Amino acid sequence: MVQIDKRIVGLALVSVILSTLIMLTIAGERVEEPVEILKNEYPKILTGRKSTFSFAMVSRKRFENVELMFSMMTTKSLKVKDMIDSRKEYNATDSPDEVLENIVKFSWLKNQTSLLEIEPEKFEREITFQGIGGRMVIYDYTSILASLSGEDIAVEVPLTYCAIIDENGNDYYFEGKSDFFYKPELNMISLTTSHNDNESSYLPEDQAWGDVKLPMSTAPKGILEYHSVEKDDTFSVIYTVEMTNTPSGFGGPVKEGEMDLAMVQMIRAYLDGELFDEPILNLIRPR
Amino acid sequence: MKCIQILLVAFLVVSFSPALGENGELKPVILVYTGIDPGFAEMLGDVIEADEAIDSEVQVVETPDILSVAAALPQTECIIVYASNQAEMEGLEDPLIAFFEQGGGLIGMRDICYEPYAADLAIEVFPIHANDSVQQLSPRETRARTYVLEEDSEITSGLPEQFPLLSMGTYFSADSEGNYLEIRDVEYEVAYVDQETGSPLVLAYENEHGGRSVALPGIWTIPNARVDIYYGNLLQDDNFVKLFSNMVLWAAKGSSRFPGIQPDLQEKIEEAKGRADRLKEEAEEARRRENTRQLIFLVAIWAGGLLVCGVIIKKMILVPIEVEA
Repeated sequence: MVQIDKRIVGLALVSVILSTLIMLTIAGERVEEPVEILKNEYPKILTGRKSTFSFAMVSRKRFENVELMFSMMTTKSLKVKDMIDSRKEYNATDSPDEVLENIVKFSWLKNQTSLLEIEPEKFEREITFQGIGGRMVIYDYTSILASLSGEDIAVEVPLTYCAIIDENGNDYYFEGKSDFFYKPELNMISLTTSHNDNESSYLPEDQAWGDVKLPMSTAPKGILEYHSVEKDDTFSVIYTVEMTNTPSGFGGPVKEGEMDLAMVQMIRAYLDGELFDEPILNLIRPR
Repeated sequence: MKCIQILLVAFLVVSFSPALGENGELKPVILVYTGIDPGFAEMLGDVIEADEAIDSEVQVVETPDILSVAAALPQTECIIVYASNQAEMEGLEDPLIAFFEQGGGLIGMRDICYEPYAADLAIEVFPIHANDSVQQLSPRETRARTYVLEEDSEITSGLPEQFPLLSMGTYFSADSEGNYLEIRDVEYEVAYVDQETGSPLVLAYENEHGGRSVALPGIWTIPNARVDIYYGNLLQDDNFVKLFSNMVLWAAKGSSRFPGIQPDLQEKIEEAKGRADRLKEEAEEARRRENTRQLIFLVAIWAGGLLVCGVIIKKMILVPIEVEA
């Protein structure tokens, strides 16, 4: 039998132990993305038929607080009274902020809130839709007014505003509120939210039964908050809509060179109060 | 037209006095909206401003859109709506119901009490449940509703037991034959009833959250100074002015929303501004604890590992070397 020198065995063992320790140290310091978006599926075109939205996310770290915010903004037919200057025209170099500042309601709200010395959240993004480039701006007053006046009312009022100026100088205006969809009580036929195995399902009032399927009127209004989130916790939101009630201006005529855009969905994840990455924007056509 | 609009908006924007006073106190705001013709709202606003018992700021707004966002503002104390058609109430249902549920004050006149147009607003906020109306279309006779006292209250204070107010008609809940049908499942107070139909002309309702509303289904005027039921003529009537002031006082100053929000608003603003920072700090603290725990664990592992290495070196490397030597 071959006699192995004990010193070689010893050196080998020491090498194995030290390299294991070094590997453990490196692995412990590895920086991961705090969360990973596993799924973000939505209908690119909304018709009267059933369409499903699904969103899933996994946390890669521990968090004290995770908040998912869904907002849905839709087109709105503006009347002369809704605008400060109804004849105002824009060109491609104008800021989308100018579109919002020309809206009476937005200007009024901006003024009223500035008197209180509070600011909305603001997001800016370059977009391309149907091959047309543009610049988008979104203002959201939901969180700040929810803190002051209560979440119950902040989610019932349109406090999220969006404007786009495209490369051809066309302007677009959207408004909406915190929710999974436009008028969910009329248009949503099912909603399921889950955190790991903890699942809540909601159905229209006439189909809800017991504690298993809850009535849609009790569903969260687009804001999902979780505490003491562990590494590898999963979150999902799945809902189906059948659009029977459309906002004014939905699917209206579009000129050549204009985006045929009807809805802008914004999804945000706040990890311990800090916005993760940029908001997810889902752009939806009416046809 | 364009210039007028720009001036109007500029006036709306510039004329607002600062919402927060020097000592951080918030001034309550009463919003008045009367549909397409703001003239009526301006006159109603003047009545409120002339009443020394009401210290609120009055704002006249021209679109229901502004009312809907105002419902979410902390300074909004009372919302007054006169609507003459369904379009004038577009988008108001959810915000106003939420505002009332939160304890806000509301006064609703004419179509906002009519269920087919106002939907749940005519049930949950102004529980008139109106599904029918009586109208006097011919201007040949005096067009007015006669208000008959039903129940004494703050709203009827200083008013006669019976008086007429110019009006083209009123809304009410009716049975299949068009007779007034009393709604019994809501605890409201009827201050005045209509002499002709017996239906409520002034209905006050306080919900469980301290929200107060007054419904006036029989305030039915026209924005034309040449006709008898011009709103300007109604404003000339001392009984209407007294009734309106009493209602605003009861709904605005007696509702719970503003007094509930106002006292710690400054703190809430600071807290809201610092909420993200606070969450970040909490998270940082938790992360520091977690990192310390991980560090201790790693140090322990290293110490254990190095100890084992030491033993191995001693037993398997140094001892054989010593033996050989």
